[in-house]
Amino acid sequence: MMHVLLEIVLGTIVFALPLVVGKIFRSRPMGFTYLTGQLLLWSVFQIVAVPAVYCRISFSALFWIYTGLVTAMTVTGIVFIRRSPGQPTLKDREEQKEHRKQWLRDLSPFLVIALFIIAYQCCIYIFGMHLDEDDARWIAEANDALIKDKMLLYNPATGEYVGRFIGEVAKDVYSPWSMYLACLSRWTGIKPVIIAHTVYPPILLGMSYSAYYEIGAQLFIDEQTGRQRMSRRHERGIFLLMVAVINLFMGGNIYTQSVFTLTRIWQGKAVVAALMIPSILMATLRIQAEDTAWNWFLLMISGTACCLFSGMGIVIGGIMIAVYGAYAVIRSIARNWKTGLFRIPLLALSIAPSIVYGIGYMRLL
Amino acid sequence: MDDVMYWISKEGSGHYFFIAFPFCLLILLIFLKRRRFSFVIPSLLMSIVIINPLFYRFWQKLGLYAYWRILWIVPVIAVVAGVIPAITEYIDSIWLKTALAALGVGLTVVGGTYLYKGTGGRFQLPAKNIAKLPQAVVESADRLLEMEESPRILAEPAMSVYYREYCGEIRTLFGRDIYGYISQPRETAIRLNNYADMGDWENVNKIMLEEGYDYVVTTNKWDVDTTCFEKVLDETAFDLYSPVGISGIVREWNELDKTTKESYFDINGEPLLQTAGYAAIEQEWENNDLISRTYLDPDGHPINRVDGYSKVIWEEIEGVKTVRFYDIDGGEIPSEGLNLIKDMVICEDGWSEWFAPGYKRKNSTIYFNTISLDDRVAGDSYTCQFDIEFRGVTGVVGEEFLFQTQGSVDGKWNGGNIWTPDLICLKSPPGDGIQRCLSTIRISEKAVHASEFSIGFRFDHWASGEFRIKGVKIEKGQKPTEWTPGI
Repeated sequence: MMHVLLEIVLGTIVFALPLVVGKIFRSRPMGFTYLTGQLLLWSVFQIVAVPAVYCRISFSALFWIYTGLVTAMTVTGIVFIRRSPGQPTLKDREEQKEHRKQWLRDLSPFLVIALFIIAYQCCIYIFGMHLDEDDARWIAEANDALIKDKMLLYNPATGEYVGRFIGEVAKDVYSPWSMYLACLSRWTGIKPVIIAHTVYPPILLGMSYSAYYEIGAQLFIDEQTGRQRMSRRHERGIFLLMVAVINLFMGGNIYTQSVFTLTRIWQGKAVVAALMIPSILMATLRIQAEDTAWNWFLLMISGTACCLFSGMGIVIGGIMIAVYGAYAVIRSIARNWKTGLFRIPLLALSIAPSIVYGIGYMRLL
Repeated sequence: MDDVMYWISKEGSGHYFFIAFPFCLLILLIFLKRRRFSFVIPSLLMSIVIINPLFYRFWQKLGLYAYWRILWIVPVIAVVAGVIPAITEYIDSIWLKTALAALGVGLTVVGGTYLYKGTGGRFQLPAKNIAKLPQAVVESADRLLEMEESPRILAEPAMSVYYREYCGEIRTLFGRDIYGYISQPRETAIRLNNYADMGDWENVNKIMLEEGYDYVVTTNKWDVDTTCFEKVLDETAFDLYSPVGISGIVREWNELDKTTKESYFDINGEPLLQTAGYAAIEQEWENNDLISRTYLDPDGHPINRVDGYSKVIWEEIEGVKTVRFYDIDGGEIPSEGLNLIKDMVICEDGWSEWFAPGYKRKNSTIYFNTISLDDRVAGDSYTCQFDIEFRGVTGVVGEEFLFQTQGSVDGKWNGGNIWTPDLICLKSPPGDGIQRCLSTIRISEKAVHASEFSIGFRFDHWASGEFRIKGVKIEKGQKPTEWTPGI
C-alpha cells in the first residue's frame, strides 16, 4: 500500500514538472504552460539522449545527466514564478477570487461541452484496453534499459544481447522516446508499460487539445472596437468542441491522425500525429501574430521535440517548419525586410534538428 | 496522381473530412476575420506541397514508404473545425451560435464514423489489469518471476509478443513476428513456430534444452506433448510446461549471455564427439566479440580437430580483423581449405533441418549463416559450395515464383549481394530434387570495411514445400576443396 502511495506521490510530482518548467515562458493559461514546459523537457532530453545512446553510455549516466538538467530547469521555473509580477497579497487574493468568479461567468458553454467530450476520451484511455504489437519494440527497450542499464543494445523481441543497433531498433537511436519512458519509470517507480498504457495517455491527450485550444486562441482573438471589447470565447470553445468531435468521428479506417490520437497516443508516431503536428502549427501561428524571440524559441523546441518520437517525427517536423516557417519569414521580410532577414537564421536553427537527426537516421538505417 | 488519390481515398474512407477540406479552406478564406494570411494561405500552401503528384515519390521515399503519414501534415482537422466559429464571429446571438455549433457537430457525426467502432472493436475491451495486457500474460509473468529471477520461456505466439512489454527480466525464444525488421536471423524461432504448430514437440524440447529455455507457456492453444514436457503449473488462465530429457548440449554463459562453454552429450549422457572430433568448446569474449575458441576432448583437455587445428583466435590489428588457427602445440595452421562457416546446425546425416518458409512468403529472406571473412583485402576470392534439396515446393497461383540465394554485407543486401544471383536462381517451382551450388566471389573495395557477410535464401510467392541444405563450405581461394566441418 505504501509502495502504491509513494508511486502516486512521485508520479504526481514528475507529471506536474512541465507546469513549473513552462513558467520559463512566462505563459499564463495552464494548458499552454504545461505544453510549453513539456516541449522544453522533451527537446532537452532529445539533445542529451541521442549522443548518449549513440556513444553507448549506460542508461544510468543518461538518467543522472538528464535529472540534473531537469532540476536546473525546475529551479529556473520556480524563480520565474516568484519573479512574476504581483505576488498575491491579501487584497490581491480577494481580487483573484473575484477574477476567478468572473472567469467562471465568462466560461463558454461550448468549452464546457468540449471538456466533457475530452474527459470521455480520457476515460476510455484510462479504463479501456487496446492491444498493439508495435509496443513490443519500444516498451521492451525501456524495460531493457531499466534492468540491464544498456540502451538499445538488446533485441527487444527476445531479450537477447546483440551489442549493436540492429534492424528496426536503429530507428530509435535518433528518436529515443523509449528511453524517455524509461526515465519517467525510474523517477516514479511505475512500470514503463503502465506509464505508457494507463498514466501517460490522458496527459498526452490533454496536451494535444491544449495545442488545439491555443490554435483556436490564435485564430479567434478578442476584438477591440473603440471602447467595446468583443470577446471570442464562444468561438474558441466551438473550435475546441469541433476538434474533439472530429477526432471522435474520423474513424472508418486505420490511417487517420485521429485514430492514432485516440487509440494509441503513447506510441512515438502517435504523439507526432496527436500533439506535435498541432504544436508546430501553433508555434508558427504565434510567430506570425507576434514575431518575438520567445515564439521562435517555441518553434525550435517543438521541432527538436518532434524528433524525439519517431523517424516520421523527424521528417514531419522538418517539412512543417520548412513550409510554415519559410512562409512566416517571407511575410516578415515583406513587412520589414531589415528585421525580416534576421529571421532566416532563426528558421535555420528551427529546422536544424530535423536535418541533423534526419541525416543520422538515414545513415544508420 | 493515382497513387496520391489512392492514399487519400484510403485515409479518407469512412468520413468526408478530406472531401470537405478544400471547401472549408475556401469558407475560411472568405469568412475568417483576422488570421486569413497566417492560417489559410499557409494551409493551402502545405496542401499544394503535400498533395502533389510531382512530389509524391519524394514524400513516399522520405516518409519511408508511408505517404499516408505524411498526409497528416495537411491541417484537415484544424481547417474543418475552424469553419463554424469563423461564421459565428459575425453573429451576436448566443442562440444562433448554438444552432450553428449544433449543425457543425451534427454534420460531423453524420459525415464521419465513430472512431472506437472503426478499429475492429478491440479498443472497447475493458481493461483487466493496469498494464493493459492480456490477463494470461500478466498472471503467468508474475508466477514465472516468483519462480525464477530471469526466466527463459517459449510462449504461444499470441502471448509471446507481450511478455517483454510487461517486464525486461523474461526472455522469450521468439517475440513479435518482426523477422526482417530486427534483422537477426532467428531461424530457430521460425522453425520452432512451425514445429510447434505441427506438434513436433520432440524437436521443440531439444532446441529449448540446447538454448537454455525452461518453460512453455500456453493457454491450451498448443497441444503440448507430455512425453517431452511435464506440466509444472495448471492455472485458470494458462498452463506451464517444462522440457524433460537429457540435453544434447550443456552450455555455460557469461553475464552478457554469451556462451563460454559448450559440451555435447548423447542420449545416455555420455560425451558425444562432433564430426570434427571434439566433445566440447571453450570460448572467450570481449564484450560482444568472440576472441578465441578452443576445442576440447571428452575429458576437457585441448584437442586437435580432424582438420588439424585446436584453437582459433580472432583479433583486430590496426583496424583489420584477423583470424588465426593454431594446433595443440601452438603452431600456426594455414587457413586455406578450412571451412569458415560458423555454428552451422546440421543433423547426423550432414543435412540441415528442413526449412518451411510458410505460405505466401513474398520478397523476404531467411539468412542461415553469418561470417566475418576476416583477414580479407580487396581482390581476395572466397568459394562457397553446398547441396540443396527441395521437397514439394509450389508457388502461389497466378504469381511469379522466385527462389534464389541472397547475400548481405553488414545486414544490408544492397550493400553487396555477394553470393547471388548466379549461385542459384529458380524462377518456377522446382519440385523435388537435389541441386549442387558452387560460386566464387571477389571482395570489392566497398566490402573491405564490412564487419559481416550473411548468406541466406530469398522467396517470392512461395506457397508450400520445404528445403534443406548440406555440406556448406566457404573457404578462401577460388578452388573448392572437400567439405570439412565449420569453425
